[in-house]
Amino acid sequence: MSNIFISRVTINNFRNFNFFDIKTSHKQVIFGENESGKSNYIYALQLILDPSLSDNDRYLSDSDFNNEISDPVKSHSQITITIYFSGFEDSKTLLAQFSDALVNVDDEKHLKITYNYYPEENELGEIEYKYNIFKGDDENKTFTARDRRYLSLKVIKPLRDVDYDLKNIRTSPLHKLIEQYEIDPNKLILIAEAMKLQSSTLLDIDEINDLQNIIEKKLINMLGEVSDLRVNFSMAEVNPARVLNALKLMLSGRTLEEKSLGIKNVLYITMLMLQYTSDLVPTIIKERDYIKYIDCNSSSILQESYKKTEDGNYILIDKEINKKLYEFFQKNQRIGIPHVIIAIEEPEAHLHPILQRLVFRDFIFNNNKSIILTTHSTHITSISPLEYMVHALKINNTSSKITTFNDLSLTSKDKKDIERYIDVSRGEVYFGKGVILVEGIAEEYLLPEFAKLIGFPLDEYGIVVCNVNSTNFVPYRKLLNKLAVPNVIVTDGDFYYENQDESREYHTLYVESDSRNYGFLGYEIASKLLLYFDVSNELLESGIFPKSIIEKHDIFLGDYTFEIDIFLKSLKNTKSISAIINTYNDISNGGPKQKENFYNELMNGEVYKCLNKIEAKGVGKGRFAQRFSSMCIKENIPDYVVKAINRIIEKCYPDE
Amino acid sequence: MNELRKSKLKQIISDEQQARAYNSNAHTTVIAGPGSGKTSILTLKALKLLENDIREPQGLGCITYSREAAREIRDRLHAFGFKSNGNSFFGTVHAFCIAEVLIPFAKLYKHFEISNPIRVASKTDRTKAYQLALRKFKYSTRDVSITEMNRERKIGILGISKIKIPSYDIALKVAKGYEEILHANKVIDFEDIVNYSTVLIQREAFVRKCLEAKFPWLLVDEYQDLGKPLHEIVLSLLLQTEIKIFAVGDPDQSIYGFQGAIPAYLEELATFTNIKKVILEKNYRSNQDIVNASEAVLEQNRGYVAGTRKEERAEFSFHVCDSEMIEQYQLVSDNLIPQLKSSGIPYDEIAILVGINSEVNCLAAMLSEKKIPFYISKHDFERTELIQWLENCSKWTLNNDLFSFDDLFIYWWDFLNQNQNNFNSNEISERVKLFKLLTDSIIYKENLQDWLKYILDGLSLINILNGSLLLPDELDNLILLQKTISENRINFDMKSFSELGRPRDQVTLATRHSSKGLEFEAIIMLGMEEERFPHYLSLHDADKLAESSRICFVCISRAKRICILVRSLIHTIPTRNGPWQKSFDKSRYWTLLENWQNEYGYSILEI
Repeated sequence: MSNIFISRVTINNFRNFNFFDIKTSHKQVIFGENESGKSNYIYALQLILDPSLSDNDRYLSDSDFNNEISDPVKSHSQITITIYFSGFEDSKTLLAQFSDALVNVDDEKHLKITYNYYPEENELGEIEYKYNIFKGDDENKTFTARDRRYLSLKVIKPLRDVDYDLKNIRTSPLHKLIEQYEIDPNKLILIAEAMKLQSSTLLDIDEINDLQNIIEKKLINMLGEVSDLRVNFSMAEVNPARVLNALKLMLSGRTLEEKSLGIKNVLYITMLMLQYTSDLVPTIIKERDYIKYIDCNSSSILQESYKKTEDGNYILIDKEINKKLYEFFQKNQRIGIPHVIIAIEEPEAHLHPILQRLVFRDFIFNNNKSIILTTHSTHITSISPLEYMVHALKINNTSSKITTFNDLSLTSKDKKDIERYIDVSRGEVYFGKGVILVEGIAEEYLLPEFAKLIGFPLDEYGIVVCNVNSTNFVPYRKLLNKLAVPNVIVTDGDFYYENQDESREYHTLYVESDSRNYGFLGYEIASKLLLYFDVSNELLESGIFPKSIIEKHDIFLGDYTFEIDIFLKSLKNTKSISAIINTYNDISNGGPKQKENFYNELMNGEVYKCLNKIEAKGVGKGRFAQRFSSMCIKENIPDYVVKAINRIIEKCYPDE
Repeated sequence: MNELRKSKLKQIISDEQQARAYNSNAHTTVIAGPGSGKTSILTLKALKLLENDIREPQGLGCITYSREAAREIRDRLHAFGFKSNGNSFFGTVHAFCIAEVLIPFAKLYKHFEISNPIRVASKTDRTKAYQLALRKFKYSTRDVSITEMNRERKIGILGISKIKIPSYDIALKVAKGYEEILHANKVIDFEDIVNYSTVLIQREAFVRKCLEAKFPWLLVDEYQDLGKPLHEIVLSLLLQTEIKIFAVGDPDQSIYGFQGAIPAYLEELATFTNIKKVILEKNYRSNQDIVNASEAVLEQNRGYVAGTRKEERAEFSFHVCDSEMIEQYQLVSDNLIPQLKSSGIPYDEIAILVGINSEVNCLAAMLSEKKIPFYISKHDFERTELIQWLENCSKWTLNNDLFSFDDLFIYWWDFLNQNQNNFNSNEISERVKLFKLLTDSIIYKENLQDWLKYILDGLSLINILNGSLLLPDELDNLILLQKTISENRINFDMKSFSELGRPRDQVTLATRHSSKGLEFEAIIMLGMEEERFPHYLSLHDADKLAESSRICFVCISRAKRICILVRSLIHTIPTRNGPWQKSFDKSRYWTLLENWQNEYGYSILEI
């Protein structure tokens, strides 16, 4: 059974949003820097859906117009917020209540609800602003408090006082949950009576009795025996209507007051989720409801799945809930249950990173309810599938934009690659100021060092190096462009000679005397990549873009492979040569002869032979790069890498 | 539970058949003979379901044939203490189809090409399209009437039902042309409203799913009058959704064959396997003689039993005039009514039933002359839902206890939402506005005309109706109402307007068709000549003849005790060669009743 969720949002002129129109998913993980509009986005949803807002709150003011409109009132501007919903078809409650909100978009049915803040001329000819929230396309079908009884948004604020909310009867989700059971009042009376009795027997000790008498006497002396002034002590609430208010939740045998804020947050949010999520198949059925179900159904599925307790209720026998049972309750679903979409702002508060991952993996994957989160936590963003991500992007000081990644047109394999990368890299691309995309581990180790050597420590500049482990940069660039994160690609040129039979010979250096045709695989890949981004007008006849164009689009290529380009560059300077030699000597397991060979080959310019030695067993490019990163100097850095680093700095900090 | 409801419920529980219908949890058809208390069962059943089985935001669908019947059910619900929350529907098929099917769903299925927003054809639109269609096929109004054309459109709807009705090919041709013209003008008429809804329900699973979500129960009153489209809607919902159907009707009272309604549909519904069939055999209106005599007219033995007036005998009398209707009117006003009155029967327990509307008017003129107060349930204006609402407004204005302001407002708010373009206001301010307007209107209570004007102006009703897409004929109707009031032929004041539905110490004049649903101590049936009743055109058509018998059955069963028949020996018929004084024999129903009287009767009324 699917659950209702917000599938599309458009906003016009509201606060820092000029306009956007996004498709959203069953879960929304909203991220973005401070002041980028995350809260305003949630507030826009609240304007329509949150029952705790007053009519007055929904009445916006001049200051709520987007700043880009210079004189909104004079130009009779309007603020419009539209929410579309999907996944409502299985709920009879929603179908019964919202037929007016039905619209057909691209042959799919949605519920559509619109908030509109608009000018109207009054009888005196003055312009007055009014607001209207309506269902579907008909402004007359107003969306009212009655509608919010069945479809609403509950926002849990980032600065929450969990301690207070858990302790306070009025706000405690625990007590709301208990209320939902609608426990038989007669049972409560029994509990209250028993507690009363227990309490008075237990307290029947001399000291307490003495105190009772003293107080009672004092009162009677003071007031006379005018009314009932008997004094008693009690250890518990004995009013049946309130007896369960005294319930306290204990965790590992301790009261919550003694537990950490983090655990309390997890507990609080868990209970809230329970409060607003009701499973289709109930775990407990009251006798009268059970009889009604049995009465109007011939199937024996209930008898098979529930057993009667001594208390008279029927409880679900602990086993896998089968399809038949789901179907039964789909058909006989409880009517009138509110559908609440929960928005939690910064759920990571007070949570250890490991807990963040565990808790939100559960929220996101093990929950069929629609949830909206705003977060700064890479532990949350890193585990979220791409389609759940909602990016709040600051365009300038007054304007922001919200984007999602549902229209990235990625193949499922690309999408999986990206998600895996995002997971292992803890979602760093989402928070980078700029990104350098590289194809392998060597670049990943060395580029930060190289950047530091030329005066741009990437960490301080908020730039991350992202290793895509292949040359398939397309999905990454799509994602980054959508995120509006500046990025450059650093990749190998992969020079080759072409033989008579059109086969290619790689791993060889250019020699002037060789008359064969030659080319660069890297340029071919880069050109293909650029075609994805609509840069076709400058294409050469060979189907390859000239280097200048490729670099203009922030792709920087070496001639051969990363290491070879480093070696060739390093040969121009003795210090840079020794940085390489020393690194090799440090990590090689070979004897002095082998190290001497390496030295000789390098000095002779036989760099591919050197590379073979590095790739040999027991060394490896990764290990070499790791060690080299602590040895390298400015003179080791190939020119194209320098260019790439300069470019990304330029793009991220155009004013410096 | 209030006292009224308690006592009605007690009555139902004490009748085994009524109790079975009331308690049924399955699909049910209830065959409800005359006076069997079907409206009570329907209303109490609705209340029971709303309280026990239906939870907000679900509601109940209750469909009736006439607006009058819908109003009756709403009034009774109110009297039983029911508070509407706006989730349930009580009204006619047309209202149901517009509000619950076309408005929410038509726009989702563009390929049906239903105009959006929905625009209902006005009377002028319809007449014009009909005339154009006739011209197109070179027919005249004599070849095909509007009624015949519309009947074809109703019976032409396809679906699950296996009942075949012979089609009239010329009318069918004109009907097709008519629809093309209407739809080219982007308007739809009443037949379209039901037909399009039927097709939407039949073809679109999602529409059925939504209706199922909204209405776990569908109650249908007067099933025999509702015709084929509704029958197909019900069958589609019965077989393809979880909606429980509770259909009440009486095949013997099916008298709208000219509109395409036939008794067979209800009978067919009762044959579906999972449907419980309940027959209410007790008649709580008439004595046993009337029950038996009415069955004699029908030439059927239904075995109905009088549940009241035990030991009482019926009185029949037969009166023959020399010529024309005029003598019958004279007999009625000079002899019959005064004598009934003097025997202790109040005016409002007497009804005079005639064949056609023009006879009602002639009789009315005569009674006026003789100063006999009378009541015509039919007015120049139609008692539309809006007019009924205005009646209720006047009722509430006169006495706040007689009607619920909440119910008044729910109608008004829906009305505004459906009919006002670019409407923007909030519910509270409209509520306050209506409350204040009605409360203030009390100063005009002495003058209905002024009161109505004050209300119409205060609500800007004329303005709203001018732009209304759904109620194109309502404005003209409202003007007719104002004209009727200003002419003051029927002594119209606030009180009589607020009680427009029922006679107040007045003799009721009605056509035989419109007598349906009413009841009187005594009925007087005029024009009981063969070839006039049954009509000569029906004599050689078995279906029409059977329907004519049912009409007579309906008329007789209106009476609780007294039944008077009147005929003339000669009627003048205008012909091409001048008037023709034709002599008429007694109606076959006269003969049947006379024979019954001779065999089983007790006394002939001494009049």
